[in-house]
Amino acid sequence: MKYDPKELANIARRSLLGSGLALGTIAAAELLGAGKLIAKTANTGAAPASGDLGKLTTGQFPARAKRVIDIHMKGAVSQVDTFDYKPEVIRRHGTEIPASVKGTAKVSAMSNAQSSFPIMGPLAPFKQYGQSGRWVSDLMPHIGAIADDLTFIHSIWTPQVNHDPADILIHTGFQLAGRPAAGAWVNYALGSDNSNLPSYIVMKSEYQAAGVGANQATWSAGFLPSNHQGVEFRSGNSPVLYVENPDGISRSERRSEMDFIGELSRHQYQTTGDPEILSKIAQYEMAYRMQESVPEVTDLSDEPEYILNMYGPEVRHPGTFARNCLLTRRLIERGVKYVNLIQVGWDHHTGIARRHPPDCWAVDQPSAALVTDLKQRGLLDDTLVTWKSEFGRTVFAQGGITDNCGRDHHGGNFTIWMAGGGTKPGIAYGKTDDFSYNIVENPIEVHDLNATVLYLLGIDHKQLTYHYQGRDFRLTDTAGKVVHGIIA
Amino acid sequence: MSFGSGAISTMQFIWFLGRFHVLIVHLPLGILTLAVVFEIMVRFGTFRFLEGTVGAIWIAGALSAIGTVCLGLMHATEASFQEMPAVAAHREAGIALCAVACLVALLRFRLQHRPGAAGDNGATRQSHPAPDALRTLFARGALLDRLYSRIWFLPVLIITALMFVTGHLGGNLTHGETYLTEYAPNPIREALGLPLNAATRPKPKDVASADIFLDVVGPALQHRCSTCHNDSKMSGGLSVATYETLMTGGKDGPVVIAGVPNKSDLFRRISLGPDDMDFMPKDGKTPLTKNEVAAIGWWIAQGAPRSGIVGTLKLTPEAASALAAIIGGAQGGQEEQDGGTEMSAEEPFPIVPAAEAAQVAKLVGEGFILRKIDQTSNLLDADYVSAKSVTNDEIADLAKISPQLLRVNLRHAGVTDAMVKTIASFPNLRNLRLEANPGVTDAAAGQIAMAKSLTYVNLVNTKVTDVGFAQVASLPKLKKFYFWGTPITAGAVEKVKVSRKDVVLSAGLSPKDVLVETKVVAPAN
Repeated sequence: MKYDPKELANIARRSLLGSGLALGTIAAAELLGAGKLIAKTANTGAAPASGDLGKLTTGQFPARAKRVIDIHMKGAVSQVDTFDYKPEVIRRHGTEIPASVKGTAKVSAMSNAQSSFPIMGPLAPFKQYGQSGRWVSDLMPHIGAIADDLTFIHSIWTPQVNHDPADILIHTGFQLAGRPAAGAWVNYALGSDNSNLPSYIVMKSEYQAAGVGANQATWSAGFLPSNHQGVEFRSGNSPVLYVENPDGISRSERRSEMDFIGELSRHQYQTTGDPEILSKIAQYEMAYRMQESVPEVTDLSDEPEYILNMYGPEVRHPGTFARNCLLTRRLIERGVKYVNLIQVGWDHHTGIARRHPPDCWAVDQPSAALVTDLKQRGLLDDTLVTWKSEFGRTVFAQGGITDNCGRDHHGGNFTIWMAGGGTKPGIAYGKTDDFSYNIVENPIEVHDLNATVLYLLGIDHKQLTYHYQGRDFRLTDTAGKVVHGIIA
Repeated sequence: MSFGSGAISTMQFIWFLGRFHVLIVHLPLGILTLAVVFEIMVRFGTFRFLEGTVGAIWIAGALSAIGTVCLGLMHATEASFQEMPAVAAHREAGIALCAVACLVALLRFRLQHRPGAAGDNGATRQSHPAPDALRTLFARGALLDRLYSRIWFLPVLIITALMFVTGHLGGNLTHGETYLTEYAPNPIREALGLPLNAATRPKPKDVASADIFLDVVGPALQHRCSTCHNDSKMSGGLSVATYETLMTGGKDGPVVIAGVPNKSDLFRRISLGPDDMDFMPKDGKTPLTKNEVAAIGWWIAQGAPRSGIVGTLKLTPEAASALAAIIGGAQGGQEEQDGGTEMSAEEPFPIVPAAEAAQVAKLVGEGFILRKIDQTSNLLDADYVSAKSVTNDEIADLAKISPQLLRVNLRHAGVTDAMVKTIASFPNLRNLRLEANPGVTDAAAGQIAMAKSLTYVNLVNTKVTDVGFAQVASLPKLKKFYFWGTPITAGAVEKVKVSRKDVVLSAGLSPKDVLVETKVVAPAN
């Protein structure tokens, strides 16, 4: 085998393993697996690519969920002002948080210097909803209205109280960037149910970020082959740019162009053995098929007016959370396995009274509409929706109770909700103390959430591993317990 | 092995080889037994002719013993053996057996190849340039020769004894200590000092006359826990052999706190989720059934009596149904074991042969995604999500694997009534998704109504009307039926709802259900 020096300079360490230097079984296994992939791609040729069943090919137990919608509120929603109803907090508004509750644990540097930690009651009154009688803030009336379909978890906690590390932790199981996100693991394990759309799609809404934005590491493929990474849809008018062929280029011309590029790539692969080339081939093929599938997904002309209204007025503006919720439903209908919606804002260290209500308004109606819409189409049975933040916020006011005060980060407990996909609807799992400051019943660590999501998808989180740098890695690292209490 | 790379770690390979220990172990047992028998037989005139072969058999026995010991050492590295004291005893006995066998083999070999023995020639001598002293030691009539001919029975006895000891210890490790005597008649059990077989207790006639410990808790613990928690193995220091040992507890103290199930470690561990670190039994061994766990919890709540007639105790409804299930002979039922309550609402899946690979490959080429429902079943989920419409030929291809199809998704696939006729004949079909197919009308609904195994039907955005609705809604096993976006009227739904309270009949929203949001909150700055 002859190498062009220029080409050699581009060879990654990984590709050396696969290029015939025969470094043990890892290389052999990758070569074998990759060889099969080549044959498959070559056989299908111009026809629509066959389905990718993923590494697992079959689940480890019967799957309750086939798809996941991961709605993430980056910046950390205050559980005190939304879903964790505490009459005691309302009563004690303005008084110092009891030392027995606050404990001796250090609070964040942002409020550690405060001389007093006054309890601040929720920003709006709470109401009970539905048969289940869940208490939900008046700032989230639409979510309240579907409370009977939701599973609230009040007892989740995280060891990390900085936005990006906590966000990366809850999505990848590790607080440093570089591990695969849950969506990438699912994509790797279960493949795709639609060969014309990416199996793992990420949509960030356009919103006032308040300093904390989405972090790419939360939809990264990490060390998994890069085709498992979340495919980011743009939040503007066209989620995917340049899907149309340029003037004068027909679909069949495009096809033959793709075939030629594919052939060149395969030659290159046979010389270098770099598995990233296979990812690239797969991505070109996917892009070609997306030229047809994406315009169909994003064309909302077949949506009845009242369905648009259900998602709220903002659904008419591309890039909003509401529009992305509607697009999510359309993607899920078409068999996309994992959609990650990211909404920023929420980091209300100051001015919470002014900033929190509009942030709630932006997500309340669309989130509830998405669940309702999935339900009426019979898709909620096997689609798991998770609605969460990277952590919660403190019951005490940051900067004392003033017109411009806020709430600080709080990892000890926060509230998330789930819907569908085999979860038990209409329940609240876990309990916090009267101050929403400590967990008193059924604590769930963030790894437990990931273990449970995988379980609902039919995957044993302890067995879904990837061998990298000499050890087997998994999404839940060395932790994670399936939370059977929330499973229907 | 990891799913990840397909690479095999060294430890896994060692464990793989180690498992062959229990297979290969029969070689030294057989060969050494033969050697022992021959060693005895050559002492009698008739069989003296065997003299020449005994040495070779000893050598073969010794070699196979060495191999077995090596595999055994590998086998012992498996995590499940780490905390078993019996492993050490088995290992030491095995190594001793191997050492003695090697010694005897060497001795025997030297005796047969001593200078001047039959078959000895110069070549042999040259290839065995033993030191003079050694040669003298082995010479005919020399010290060792004379010694061996006097004490030959000693190694034979030692080998025989060691084979019994090692074999028994090993057998206990593999099958559990109680395996050998499990069906021993009671006189023998008595002679061995074992507790009498619970089977001798007459089966209780009904729940009320059953004894909670002797008929329910005791046998359940014996059945599922005593492999590891018996008087000799005592994993974690606990033995469930008798009521006394059970109540004594393990190395962390009592496991049963009479009256308080939630503080009893026994109850806590058996009622955890199977993937919990603390869950018992470990390593995927068959757990207690849900009913047995409930019965044990109730027994502890009742003060964990040594014996107690159920009829004289205060029954909770939960305990009553658990006991009824156990005493009625329902314990160990398949349905209970497979995932407990979570999936019990669903009927067990039919068992079918694997779909023909060529046919699956053909369908995949046509745009279907076929996925096994889990690792234990050959049933398939079929999703058709290609951009082009499905054809009659493709549906005919699908029909060729119809016994395997559990769920079929043909959303937005240009499905026609004629195609539905074929699909409705799939014998094991439970879920059918036909959303967004304007070609699906009442004729299709009539066909769907014939597919009696269906539990989930999705006809969202099809042309099915009230006529077809009533037909589909009459499916006997139906649980969920979705028909948003069809001409089906609320009146028709109401009529059916009266008789089918067990079915989710979901018409979805209509324009009047959605209030237009007028309040506009400006995003914050």
